[in-house]
Amino acid sequence: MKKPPSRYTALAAVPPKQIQLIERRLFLRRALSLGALTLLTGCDVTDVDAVQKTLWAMSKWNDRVQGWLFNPDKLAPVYPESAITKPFPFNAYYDEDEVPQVDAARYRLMLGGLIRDKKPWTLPQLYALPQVSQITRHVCVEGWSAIGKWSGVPFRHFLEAWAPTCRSNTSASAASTTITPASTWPPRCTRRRN
Amino acid sequence: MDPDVDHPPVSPRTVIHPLAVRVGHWINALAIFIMVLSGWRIYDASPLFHFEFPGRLTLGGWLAGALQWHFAAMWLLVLNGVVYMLYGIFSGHYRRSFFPLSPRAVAREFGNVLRGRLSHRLGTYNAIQKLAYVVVIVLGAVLVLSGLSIWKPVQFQGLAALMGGYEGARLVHFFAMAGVVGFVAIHLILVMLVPRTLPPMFTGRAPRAATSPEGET
Repeated sequence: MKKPPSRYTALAAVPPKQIQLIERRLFLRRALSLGALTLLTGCDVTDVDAVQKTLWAMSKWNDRVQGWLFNPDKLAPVYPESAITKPFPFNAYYDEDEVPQVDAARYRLMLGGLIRDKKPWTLPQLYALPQVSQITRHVCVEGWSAIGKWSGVPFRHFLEAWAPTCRSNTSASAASTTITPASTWPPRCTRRRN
Repeated sequence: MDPDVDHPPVSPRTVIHPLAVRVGHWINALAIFIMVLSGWRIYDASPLFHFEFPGRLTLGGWLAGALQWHFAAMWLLVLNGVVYMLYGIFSGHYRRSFFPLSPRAVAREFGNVLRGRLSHRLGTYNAIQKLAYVVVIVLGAVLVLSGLSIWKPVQFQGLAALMGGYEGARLVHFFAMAGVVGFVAIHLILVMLVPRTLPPMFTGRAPRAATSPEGET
């Protein structure tokens, strides 16, 4: 089995809490401008906080509606080897020549949040889990997409085996269209579809 | 040319835009404003073509902010659009206002435009206007369907396949947006050229004289 690219393990090494904080800070700063609205209407959107809160609430509501509306078991279409995008676009917050080098032997996956067992994971432990390989389209939130071959332990298996500590009427879920750790971590608890 | 010279405002006045159409129109205007400007910011995160929309003309500040605006206003657009279309179909509004619509009538009207003779009667649409409204309603539906395919390409993979998959749906979404923006631009220019069409969009009423057939000017 192919080893997962080191950029993923490097990203996973950044504490999720820290990523969240950075994202939130960027979000607030950039969204504060509300450029177009201010520009076109000529008025100052002073109550920006209320706008932000509404958008966040709307976003959370969207998550709930999606969990309720869509089938979590619907799989992405698979493609033949010949359909793989070459070269696969490199996309990270650092350049290709700046990919952090991670010592595989010292690598630990730290777990936190609503899970039972917070013991860190080593790479051999991760590789011991059942692995699969699939050729699917990666759809980036930025809009571009590319077909790639993805190998490793399905995040879903990992979640189901190790993180089912959400409250009784909820279940753990991860994005079904992308399987990059950055976009599926940390796991979310959503209401189970009845 | 002053279109109001021949038709001074005379009461009693008649309703040319039903309340449902007016309310739907302004909710739709707000929804489209938010959808287009946030959509431009989303486009800029990964441009399809060799241009970007100027950041100052976009909404949301950055990709995640724009996505939040887009995915919030989509409910407004779709719910309002569904109500409007159900109303349009079942009240007979569409049938009365947009039909009959024949290619021959469109061609004739186009000839009139080329000769500088535009017929504009408040509350009655000429063939080109009818065609434009029908096209923009269809474009709106195409935008929603292609948008669903981009939003959830796995859940709506059948729908996406109709448009050539995820990447095809992106193109469809872009060009349908371009069509709607073109419509809005012409729509606004015409309102500026014939300002008396604006008040009825708020009040619903127009001078009765203005609704009678007028000679070409």
